[in-house]
Amino acid sequence: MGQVIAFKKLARLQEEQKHSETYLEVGNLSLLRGSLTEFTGEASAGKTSLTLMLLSVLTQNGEISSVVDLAGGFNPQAAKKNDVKLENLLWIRCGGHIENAFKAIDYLVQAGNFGLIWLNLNTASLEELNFIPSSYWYRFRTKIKGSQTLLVVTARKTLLGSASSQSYSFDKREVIWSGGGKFKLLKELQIDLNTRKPFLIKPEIVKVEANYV
Amino acid sequence: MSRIYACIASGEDKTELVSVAQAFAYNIELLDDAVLFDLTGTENLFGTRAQTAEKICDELKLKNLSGNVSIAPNAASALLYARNQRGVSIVTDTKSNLPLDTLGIDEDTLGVFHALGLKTADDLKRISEDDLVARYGLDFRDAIDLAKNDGNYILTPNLKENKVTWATNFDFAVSDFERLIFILSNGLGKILEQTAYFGFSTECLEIELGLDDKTTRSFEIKLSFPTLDKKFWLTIINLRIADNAPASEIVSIRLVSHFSRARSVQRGLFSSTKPEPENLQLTVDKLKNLLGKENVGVPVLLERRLPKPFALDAEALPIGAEDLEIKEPKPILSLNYFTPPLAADVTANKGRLLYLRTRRFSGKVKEYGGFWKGFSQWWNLLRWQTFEWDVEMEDKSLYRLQKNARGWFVIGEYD
Repeated sequence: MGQVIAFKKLARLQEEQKHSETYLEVGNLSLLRGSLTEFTGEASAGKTSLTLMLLSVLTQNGEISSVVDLAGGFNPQAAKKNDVKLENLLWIRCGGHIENAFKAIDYLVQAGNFGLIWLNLNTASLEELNFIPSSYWYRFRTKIKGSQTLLVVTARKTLLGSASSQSYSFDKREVIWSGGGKFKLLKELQIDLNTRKPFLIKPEIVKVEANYV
Repeated sequence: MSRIYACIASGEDKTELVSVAQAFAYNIELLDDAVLFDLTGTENLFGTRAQTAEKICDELKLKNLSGNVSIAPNAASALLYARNQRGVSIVTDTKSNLPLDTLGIDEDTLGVFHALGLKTADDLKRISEDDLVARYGLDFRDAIDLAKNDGNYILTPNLKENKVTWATNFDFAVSDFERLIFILSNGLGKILEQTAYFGFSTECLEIELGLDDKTTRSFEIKLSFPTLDKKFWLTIINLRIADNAPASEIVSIRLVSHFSRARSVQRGLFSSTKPEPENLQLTVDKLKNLLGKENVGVPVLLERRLPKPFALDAEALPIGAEDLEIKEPKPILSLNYFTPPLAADVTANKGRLLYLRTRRFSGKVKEYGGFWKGFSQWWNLLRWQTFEWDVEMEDKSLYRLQKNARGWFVIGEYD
């Protein structure tokens, strides 16, 4: 059993060496550029916070990134709290039209050289998500392969299937409050970060702090 | 090749004088009392010096202007004669009959020369240059050079073109703008070539469509970067105008390219790759066509205490600026807005929130913090009437709950 674990680690090491220039390592996440990544989980599972953390690193590095906001949920104030450089961000509001969101992604992928394209499907209902043809994802995967762009999709359920190179699922673990009585403030959200792809690993605990300032 | 300079000295309107000069030359210097221009290499176009002077005078007459005109082998002489000799002066290399006081000689020295019977520049030339320099110093060489029609004034063009124009009228009115793209492409090519000829680029194009109903429709396309890429400009024009084409038929087109400094591309060896500006602009334009102008842009924070203290700047494009120091990434809890907010039924007992129901979710409230007053505009009816809570449901979901004059709403979820 111990040998099997060691073998997995070595394989991962080799792959990382092979793609050392194309891997983006941020916090607990290790993402391959030029591929599709999905973050899935229920409400308050921390998908947005971790995506903003990714955006923060890329935009501070001068990479132009884009948010395809399906239903007007994106909050630039929260992005700023996560140190996202807003002037390097293209915000696209799709007014709830899922087709327009996919057309927008098409245009962005075609333009090339975006650091990260975030398709925010967090507030889409499960019925809407079920209607998305899987062929879309394969087309995007083919188009961005070999580029530096990371296409990150956040949604309540897994959508990308085998089109994604990385798939993380988020589970709520604990909500910690500070203060007492009527004067309570959110202090921290603890989440379990599960990696389904490319390696199934033990869930890691990620702490997401609240910031009211 | 011998050089030829022309000068018009006149107290008339400067713009008119410049327009006369522009009919003859590109290199023009506008002075307080004169317009000096370089005619070198235009002999085949305008003829001899005398013929050129005649043509300049004709142009002045055409515009009802008066002034002294001079043609000279150097800029200093052209300027000197136009300023000091009435009518038309054709300056040769040899003769100069200008009075000595026009050569910039000081009063005392002039007095001495007059006492010696020296009146004109030709008189001065008869005296040995070395003797004059030995007696009056090296500075006097300027006056000697002027007397010899060999002054060293350098024409410095200070009148620069800032735009080029192309226009055409059609024999028949055209209803479909897209059918004009071929003609537009031709005109666009010409003005971009001219812009490049002047050593500039352009980030602003004006398009004026003359319409069959005797009106005009103008479009101004401004970019955040200069470019001379014809294909790009044509696509942008098509995107901006085709969907917004005038209702009446088009009878003429006028294109104006405003000059701007050419783009300098300087990227660091380790700087991140970004979308090409042309690609980014085209993509943003396509997205605006798809989603509406107001829905694509750069997020900006408003330094005001509002429920949503941010806006989308549709005019801006992401710039790709780099930070020198990258902050340690650390996830901070983020609020995702529901647009529109979800109407909620709230059950409370003795001031304590117990149960929350919306069309998307419902459940017992496990914990909550608040309230806060979230809206402070004193002039607004909702001033201090908006109360907000952070609510944790029994399934550990976190929401922002709001109560205002219209009722209870869940305005967003923490994620």
